[in-house]
Amino acid sequence: MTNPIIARLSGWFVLILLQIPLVMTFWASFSADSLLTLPTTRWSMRWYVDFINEPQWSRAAFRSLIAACVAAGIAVPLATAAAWSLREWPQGFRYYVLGTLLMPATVSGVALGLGLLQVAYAIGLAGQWPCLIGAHTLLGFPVALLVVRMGFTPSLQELEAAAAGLGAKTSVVAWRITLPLLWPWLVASAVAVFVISLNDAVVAVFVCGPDTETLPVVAWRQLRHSAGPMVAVAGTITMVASLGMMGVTTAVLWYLRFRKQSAGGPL
Amino acid sequence: MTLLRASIAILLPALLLVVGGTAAGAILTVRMSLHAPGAGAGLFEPGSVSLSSWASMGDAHHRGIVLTTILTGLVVSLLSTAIGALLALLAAPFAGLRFMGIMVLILAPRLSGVLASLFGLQRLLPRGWIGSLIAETWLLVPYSTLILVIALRSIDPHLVPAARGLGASRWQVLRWIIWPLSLPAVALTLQLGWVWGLGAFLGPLFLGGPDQSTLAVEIHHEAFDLGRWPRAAAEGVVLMVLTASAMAAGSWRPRP
Repeated sequence: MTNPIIARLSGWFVLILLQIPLVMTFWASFSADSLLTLPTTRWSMRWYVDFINEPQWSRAAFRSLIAACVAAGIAVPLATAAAWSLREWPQGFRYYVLGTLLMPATVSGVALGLGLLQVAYAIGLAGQWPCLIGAHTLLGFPVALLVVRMGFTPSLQELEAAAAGLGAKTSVVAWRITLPLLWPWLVASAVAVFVISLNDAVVAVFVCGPDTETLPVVAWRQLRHSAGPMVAVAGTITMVASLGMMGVTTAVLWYLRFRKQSAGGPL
Repeated sequence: MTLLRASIAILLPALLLVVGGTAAGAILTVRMSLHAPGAGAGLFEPGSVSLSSWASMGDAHHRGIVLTTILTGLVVSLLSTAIGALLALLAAPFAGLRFMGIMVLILAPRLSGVLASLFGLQRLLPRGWIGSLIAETWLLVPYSTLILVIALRSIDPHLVPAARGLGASRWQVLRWIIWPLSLPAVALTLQLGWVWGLGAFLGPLFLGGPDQSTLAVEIHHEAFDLGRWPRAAAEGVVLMVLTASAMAAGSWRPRP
């Protein structure tokens, strides 16, 4: 596509603007003093050392990691089952079911958190692990569903129909055809849920108890009063973890696809 | 028939999660708004029925907050769609790894650095309307861009060279080919931007003052700072009604 030069230039300009707060936080986390002046000559890792040594922060980081992994582990199978099921529904119904399943994405995080807190109270799990995991699974589910649905391409459906036509049972088709062709999308959706969970502060503030406070929640409390250098460290760690996760996945998927293409692959 | 039954069965866990989390939460929120505030440790007084949380909902303070919420939603929706369009136009023509790279940069503020973004924005922007609106737009732009990029990339790639070959300028291509074909996506982006903007929370909370307080900020304030959970629930109901009406208004299309 050829865009007018002004549109392209302003696009690049906005893209650079978008990164400035991230770069500033990254930079400030290496500041040597506690006033968070941007380091020019004196770089320091002292806040990172403090981060690891202070149990409040390091434990929260560990909890965030666990919650993100478990939420991804639950949300992806659920989303895959839902996406598979949606194909069998009659056209008219399908949109209502899909609309219902995407509901959590439209509700404001605060309203969602407020509701989830009461559900947690009602079933006696307020402030406990299952509640946090459930909340993050719910938060990531719509995105996981949308990503997995992208994997159910027409060509996949044709291959499934061909296998079924040759006498394969539904379970065999699912195991031998659908899953092998779908797995890059499953990985992508797992990464999406992981990253959403790792970065969620809003819902977590409502559903976390003292023993399940995640990294964003601990950082949140500081950010509201006086943002100390630890918030910059927490922000940088979350950012690097999310970007690293996305980067590695993209690279691996890219490599596998590329290798398959150059080898001529079965498909 | 068995296939349909099987597909209902495997849909159930997901449906249970979504309905159990979202709908049950909404119903419980309505119920909590009708309780008297709790005197001690509980969120509310069990067994009580009271309209006291709703009584103050029509006063000037709350009308102001609802107005701020709607205004914030509209401005954020317009800004994030406009900026998203610029970024989508920039990213859409690229292919392969370059496209991936640009998309990661576009999604980074939202998907990898909500905390880092807020921390940096607090240092860059003044508190008040400007800070609140720009920060909230900042967090929404990645989503708006994503919707618009998908739309732009689904436009028939032969149309642009065809138009250029027939002598159209770049602006004419943008005006007469790209714009009309992406109009439905622009409408969707505006609508979703409004729906998400109504729930504006992090921007107004961390970069706004009392005058920029939206419903979401007020809910958090009532619940966590003042402990008035039923009132927070009543505001939550107002927010959900606003969001639902924005969804409904946006989904309405004139019948052809």
